[in-house]
Amino acid sequence: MSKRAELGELLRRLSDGDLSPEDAARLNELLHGDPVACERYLDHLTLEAHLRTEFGGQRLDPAALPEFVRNAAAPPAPAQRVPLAAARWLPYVTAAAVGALLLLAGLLTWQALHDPAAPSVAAETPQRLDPASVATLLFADDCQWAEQEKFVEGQRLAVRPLKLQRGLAVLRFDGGAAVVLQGPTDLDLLSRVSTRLTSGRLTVRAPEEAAGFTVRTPASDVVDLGTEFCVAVERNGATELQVLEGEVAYGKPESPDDSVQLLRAGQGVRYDLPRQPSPRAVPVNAPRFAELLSQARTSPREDLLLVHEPFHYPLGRVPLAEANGGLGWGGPWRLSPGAKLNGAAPDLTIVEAKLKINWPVRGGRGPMLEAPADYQSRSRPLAEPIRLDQDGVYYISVLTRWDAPAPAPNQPVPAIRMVLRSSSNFNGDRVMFNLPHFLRPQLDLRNGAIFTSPQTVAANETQFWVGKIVARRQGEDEIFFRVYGEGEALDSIEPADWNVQSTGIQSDAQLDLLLLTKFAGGTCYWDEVRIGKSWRAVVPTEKAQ
Amino acid sequence: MHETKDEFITHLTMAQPSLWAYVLSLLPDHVAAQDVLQETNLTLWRKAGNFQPGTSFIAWACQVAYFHVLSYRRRMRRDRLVLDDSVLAYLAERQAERAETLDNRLAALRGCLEKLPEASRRLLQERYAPGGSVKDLAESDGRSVAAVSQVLYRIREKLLSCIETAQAAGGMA
Repeated sequence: MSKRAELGELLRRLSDGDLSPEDAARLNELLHGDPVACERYLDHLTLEAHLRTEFGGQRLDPAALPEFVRNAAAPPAPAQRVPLAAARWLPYVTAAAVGALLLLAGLLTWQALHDPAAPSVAAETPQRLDPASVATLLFADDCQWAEQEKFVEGQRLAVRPLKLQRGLAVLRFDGGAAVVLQGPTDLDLLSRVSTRLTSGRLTVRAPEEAAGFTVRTPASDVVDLGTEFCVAVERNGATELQVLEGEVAYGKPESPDDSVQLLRAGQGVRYDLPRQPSPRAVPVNAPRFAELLSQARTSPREDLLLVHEPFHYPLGRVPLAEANGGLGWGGPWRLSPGAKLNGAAPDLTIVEAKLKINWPVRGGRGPMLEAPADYQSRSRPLAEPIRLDQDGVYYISVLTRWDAPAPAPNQPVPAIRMVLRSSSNFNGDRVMFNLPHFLRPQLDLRNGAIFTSPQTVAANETQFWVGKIVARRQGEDEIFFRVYGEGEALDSIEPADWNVQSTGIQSDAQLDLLLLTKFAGGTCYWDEVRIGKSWRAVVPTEKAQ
Repeated sequence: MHETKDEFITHLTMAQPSLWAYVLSLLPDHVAAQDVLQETNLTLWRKAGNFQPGTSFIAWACQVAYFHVLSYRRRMRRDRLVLDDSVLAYLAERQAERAETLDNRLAALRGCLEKLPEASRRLLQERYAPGGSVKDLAESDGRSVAAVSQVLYRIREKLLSCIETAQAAGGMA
């Protein structure tokens, strides 16, 4: 087959949604360095886009769109539909609001025209089930889910329905919006930027970068514009929307000629029936997002702690065989395979008060491990391995401070590491949380799979490291790494931002060794190693922040 | 913002088909591309003050879209990314250069669609309508998936050829 014919065949499969990973690799090979092939690819994809434009349910004529948005009715206040063209209400609405309204009318229409995966409010179930994760369960307080389903904090959630019968849960969508669910609430996770609320109550906090998050309800679609709002849907479909901060737009995407309205902080509307064309104004009385969280019990979850090393040993030198305290270990500390002593004793050195702990966490104030200049690595077996071959979520944390030396010629690159390895395949797949001398946090998961944060952390400061491992029996494993510096407040629930995260890694490793390693000089301190099943087990803040 | 809101909205609205084509070319998954288009539109609106009237709106919009594409790719599973980074960078640059003329291609396509036999047009309609798929089409037609796929492939080749001819002739086919 000629390259041209091969490219045509691959483009056919791409159009049909039938492109395998091998096909994609070959497609890249054909495109790489071949401008003619690239031009053909772009022609093909442009045609695909234009065909979707032409046949996306309604013919979209760009010249007609401005006319459409100008004609869209847009009342300035709830339940007062006034044609946008009528200038009499303009003094009451800022120019920005008018613009946002027009834009949102266009966006809702555009989305309705082009997003078959985002069904209209009339649809009952998602039309497309995507196995990829779209959200994370950050927090669950006294939750009972329908059909005895069990969800754990940190669990990744795919496109799917969620039925919370009782309790309070917090989700973060991958698009950035955080959502508090109060049971009983039924919703469908539709995508990383949208959800459908069938019944119950959601409080959404979407930072500016998450603007555009959409909540579909029986009565209306609500599009956030960088804000905080509450949506409640009753069993009969009655829908209430209250804006707590910022602005939202709401409208009915299946009816482009219907109104798209803007609602600001302190405004609320209610549809008494789902099909009611216009809502009525209601007072805003919903609690704020932070208020809901502060009412929830965000206390430490020591019950979900699997492994703990507080280094509660006598000050001074402690023989390795006697360094056998803590929880969840399969034996005492030992010299790591391959580590050299350079004439020094293998003992642990225990010191105290070497860290500056500004956080309301346990640890870091009493005895801790010192890694002097000649220290290389010590390891300790876990009682139970961290299994990447089974579905599970693990969190790991440690307190540390390191005075990073400058790199020297012919010496290993200075770095400190907390590593999980397999004793049966020591140099195989691992989960390495690494801080090299250039102070950009790294994940090193196997040869050729190193992920480096674009951010630099402060030198010689006490740091709180938190890692997250999302293990999957099938599909990609996900590893996350976050380094908090002295000036940063710890999050009481899992944050949206990590310094670095992995992509494209699948492993079946069983990691049963924990190593604390330092390369090339400098002194480092470690304390309070924790591994647990929840953010709150390894970031044990005493009070919600 | 130096121009009126209405002018900006007109720019944004007019740019939608080309912007959509730009994003889909770089992120050939229409659900992901739709998310990115929506994020891009909101950023364009928020950063409207950065747009300099008199410069190319679509060039600026493509720049913004590119950052959203990169950001989206960072969050996607690696095995769901079709394009490698190096190929992506070239395609992004090239498609941004072409963006000014993508409207012409859309206009040419419309002329070409009118010349298609009714059966072919109907097949495209069913395939590219929301929720349409080759598999569903094959089932409803009682044909094999491979057969429908090949028919669609031939129709698209015919359309591409027709668009090229129209472009070369400088007309709308």
